[in-house]
Amino acid sequence: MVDFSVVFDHTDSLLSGLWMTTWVSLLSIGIGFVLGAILCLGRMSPRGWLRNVCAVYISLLRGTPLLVQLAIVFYFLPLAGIDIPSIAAAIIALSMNTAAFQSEILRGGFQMIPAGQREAAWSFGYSPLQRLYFIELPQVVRRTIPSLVNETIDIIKNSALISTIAVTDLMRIVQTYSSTTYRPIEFFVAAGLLYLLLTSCISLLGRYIESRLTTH
Amino acid sequence: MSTNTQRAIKLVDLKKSFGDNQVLKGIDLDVNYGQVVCIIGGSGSGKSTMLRCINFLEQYDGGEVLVSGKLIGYNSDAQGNLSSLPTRVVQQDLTDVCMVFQQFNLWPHMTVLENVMSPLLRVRRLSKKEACEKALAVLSKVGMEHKQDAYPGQLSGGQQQRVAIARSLGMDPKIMLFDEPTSALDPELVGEVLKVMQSLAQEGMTMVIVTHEMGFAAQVSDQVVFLANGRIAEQGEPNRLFNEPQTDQLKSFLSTWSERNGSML
Ligand SMILES: Nc1ncnc2c1ncn2[C@@H]1O[C@H](COP(=O)(O)OP(=O)(O)O)[C@@H](O)[C@H]1O
Ligand SMILES: [Mg+2]
Repeated sequence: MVDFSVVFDHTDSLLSGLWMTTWVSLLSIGIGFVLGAILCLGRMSPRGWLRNVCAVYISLLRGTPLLVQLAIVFYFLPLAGIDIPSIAAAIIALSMNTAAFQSEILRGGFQMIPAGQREAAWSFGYSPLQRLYFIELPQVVRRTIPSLVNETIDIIKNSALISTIAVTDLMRIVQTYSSTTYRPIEFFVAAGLLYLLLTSCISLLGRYIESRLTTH
Repeated sequence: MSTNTQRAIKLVDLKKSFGDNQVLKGIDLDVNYGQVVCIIGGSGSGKSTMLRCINFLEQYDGGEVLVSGKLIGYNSDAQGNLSSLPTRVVQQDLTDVCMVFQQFNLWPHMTVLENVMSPLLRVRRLSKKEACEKALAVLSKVGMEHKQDAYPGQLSGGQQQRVAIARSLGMDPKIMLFDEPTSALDPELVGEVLKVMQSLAQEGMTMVIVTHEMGFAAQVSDQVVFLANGRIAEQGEPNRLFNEPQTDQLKSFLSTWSERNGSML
């Protein structure tokens, strides 16, 4: 018999798991955006070696499973004498992973800007930083918001993997209760609904921001 | 004043190649302050490249570009060895030069007013109030102040080009370069842009204009330059040049043009 009352007995724990999933994912997205922007600039740099380093980093992180990346960060950092809590390992791995994806999204945004706009900025005497900040970034952010929202949703869903390194996120809590209560169906359906709730909020927020930024 | 400093622009044996393709094969040109010079020539003859070398959007690889007597892009030491100048310095040396592009190159995320104000705020470092006043003044000069809150994407091509001209005028340029400013426009919108340019010419603005509008060139220019294969094939007063072309190249260029556009001027 399917009976969801057992789920409601553990509402508090589930919500705390949801909260953990939310802030770890969003923090990683934020850090990943900054790293991704830096990677993206490196990828477009006039210096060949820098372009190559960034390209290699991006292929490595896009071409291997997130689970492998998590395990490497989680098990290798202690070996290197760096002792950090598993949450920190999770955030590092997620940020490094999403940075690679976000940098490619951002690069696509930069490439959509016609060269003439940069030339105009140059002729008017803008410095490279001014051009980046006043001319390019605002357009890149506007144009890449839909893709960045998708990436955020991906990271929220993929963050379920951090349960494997003992972070008590939503997935971990659901797994624990489903085995102690022998009610996997109820708990996994509940987990699915909570993830859906979170990703839907992000979608709506993204659409709202997009509508505020649309110029014509 | 030396003769050098009276010249707005002086090109000496200007050369530019893209790989093996030598596009400018030695251009000599003098433009005085207050003069309007139109550059005509077939597609691919090097008109844009020449203009772009003047404000260093292309690095030239031979000869000299002098603006108000100052060598642009390079520093020449006592022995005459050239070294590249830092970008900042080149931009500084080109403060008096503004370029108007075929594709307008307005910044689409800014309103008309913001487009014109932006360089005044970021480069000229005017206060918001001063920048706004200046921007409105130049916008009304091109008849676009009523669209100050529109975004470029909401305007016709002719209106965008007038805003682009206003954005340049805000910087108080002494020299304006135009690269086919009306070529991207629907025919019925060409006139409004030419009118603005004509009034600038009457006010004594120094202008170098790449154009296919021969009627306009004949009307406003002090000097017309005909470019062919990266060289100046012929140059002179518009009357003489259009009515008594000397070279075969110019003759055939003009006759092709009049076949396509009906009568000559
Ligand atoms: N960035 C570039 N790279 C390579 N070739 C170029 C570049 N810009 C222009 N050219 C070449 O230079 C020649 C002259 O171009 P351009 O100055 O644009 O001619 P015009 O403006 O007279 O039509 C053309 O053959 C063109 O292919
Ligand atoms: Mg051209």
